[in-house]
Amino acid sequence: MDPKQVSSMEPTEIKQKIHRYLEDNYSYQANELTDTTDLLDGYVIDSLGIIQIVMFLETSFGCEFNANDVNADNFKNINTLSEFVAGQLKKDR
Amino acid sequence: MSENLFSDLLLSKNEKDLGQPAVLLENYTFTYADIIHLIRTAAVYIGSKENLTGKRIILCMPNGPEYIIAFFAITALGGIVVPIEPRTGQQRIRIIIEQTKPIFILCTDSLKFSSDIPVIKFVIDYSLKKIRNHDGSTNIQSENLPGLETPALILFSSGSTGSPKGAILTHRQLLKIANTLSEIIGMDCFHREYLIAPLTHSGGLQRVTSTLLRGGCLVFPSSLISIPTLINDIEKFSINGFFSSPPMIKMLLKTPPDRIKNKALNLKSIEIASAPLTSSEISKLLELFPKANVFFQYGLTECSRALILDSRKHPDKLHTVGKPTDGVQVKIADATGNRMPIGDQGEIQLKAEQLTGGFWNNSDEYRSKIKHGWFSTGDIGTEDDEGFISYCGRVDDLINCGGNSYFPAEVEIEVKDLPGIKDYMVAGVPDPQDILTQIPWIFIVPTNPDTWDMLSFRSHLHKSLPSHMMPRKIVIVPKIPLTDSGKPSRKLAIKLYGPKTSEQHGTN
Repeated sequence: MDPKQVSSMEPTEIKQKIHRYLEDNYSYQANELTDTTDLLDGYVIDSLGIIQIVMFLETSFGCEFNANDVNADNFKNINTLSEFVAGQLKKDR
Repeated sequence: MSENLFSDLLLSKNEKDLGQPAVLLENYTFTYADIIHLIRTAAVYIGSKENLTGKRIILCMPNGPEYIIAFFAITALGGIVVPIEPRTGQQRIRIIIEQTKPIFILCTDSLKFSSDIPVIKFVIDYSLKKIRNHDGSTNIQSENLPGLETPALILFSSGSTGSPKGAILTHRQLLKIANTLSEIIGMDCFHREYLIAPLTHSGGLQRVTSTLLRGGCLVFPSSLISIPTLINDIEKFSINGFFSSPPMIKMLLKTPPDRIKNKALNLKSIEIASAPLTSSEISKLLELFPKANVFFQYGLTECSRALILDSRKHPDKLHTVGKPTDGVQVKIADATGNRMPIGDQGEIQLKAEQLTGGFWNNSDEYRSKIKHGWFSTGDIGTEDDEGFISYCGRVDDLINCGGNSYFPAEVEIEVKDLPGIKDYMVAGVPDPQDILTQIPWIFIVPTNPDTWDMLSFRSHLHKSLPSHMMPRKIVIVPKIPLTDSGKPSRKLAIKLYGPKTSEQHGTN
């Protein structure tokens, strides 16, 4: 995706993209996975899943995670992840 | 003093060693003296509940100092550790509990499953270096420690009928692997080991025993495990070695080299296991970490580190899984147990000191694995004229998802009694992203496709299965294909309904 397109992405679009990724890779249907489903506490993603999500977010949105960013607060649910990505993109603008 | 894990790995340290760091976590450092004191304290805390000799205790906790302390305290008291990953599926947990009849479950957090077995919370206050809710008294008399032949661990691996089987490993066998591994890797008292593999598996646990044997230091990740965390911690903690499954390595190889450059100056070795990597991937890894060696190990839950490839020493053998380690014998056998000629495919069979002597409460299953005195691995391989073994695949339908191996039956057992399903089949299909080796798909023949409730079905699986067993695709099919002899065929199902043609068959 064009970096300009990514950096101007609305938070809702970011959220939808993350939603789609999780649905495709973790066998969810849209009405099961909500924006506040706890990704770490339930049976949603395991440690390998976190590694893959980081890679997906970095390649899809062009943002770069630091070790400190990969924490339970940012990875709690789709809302927190989207907010983090949106914040990173804002910084890059 | 008898020989055992606690005495050989920890009590044998001299005065100087005791002041050395044994465990690093965030800003906390635990010296060998701290660790020994905590194990002694834990032995009172855990052992005051009941005499542990020969008893099974479930350890259900994530990686952390608690796991290490509890493991050594239980085994020092003659107890047998049964590890369960906190995210293990309900059915598997039920079977493990039924088979091992543990006296209690030790955990750090609330359990995600219900059980009648007593649960004991075991949490360490890192700053005070004390066990929470315990007065701090210590125990373990050296003369009462268990001997080398005492079982220390029951590790559950996949079972072809859907029921996992518990490989029993003694103190001697765990020490043997620690000796072999630490020698091959070249660990010493300066070694800093980065622990990212689960300690509930032999892959991770034996890195702990190997490091402690040589007086090295164990380092836990500073945050959730990811490639940025790995790169950061390798630099920050001057890491010398780590063990990983191939998915992590594959993602590491996709990382821009600039992000890694000059960050791994002290990294000396990477050990990889659980799923195949191509020789080109190993070559790339060697280029990415020019100062480090890459060791590829072939082993099973029943026989860890049976073969190891030293890739710097044998750059022309990167397509193999190496040669037998000390004391291990390998045979490539035909169906009648005869050794195959060099280069011909056959089943990989093993004899080894570290090979389990049996499955807990399941001697029939163990007997079925022993063929003419050799342990049958279910893996297909070849041997070359220099004794290097190549892995060629499986004789059965074992699924390898991200280094986690299990049989389709372990997923199918969750489906068999559900309403509205006429027939079903689970199979491992190649991961289109080439990260996890295989991913599970499920083919379903509903009794009535128009009314079948896929949402409830999916929810049920979610609650019952761990992430690596959760089918990534649910494919509605008209029927499960059969072989000429009338048996359900996974190969045919994948060919007919697998990734390429799935869109035509109601994939979602």
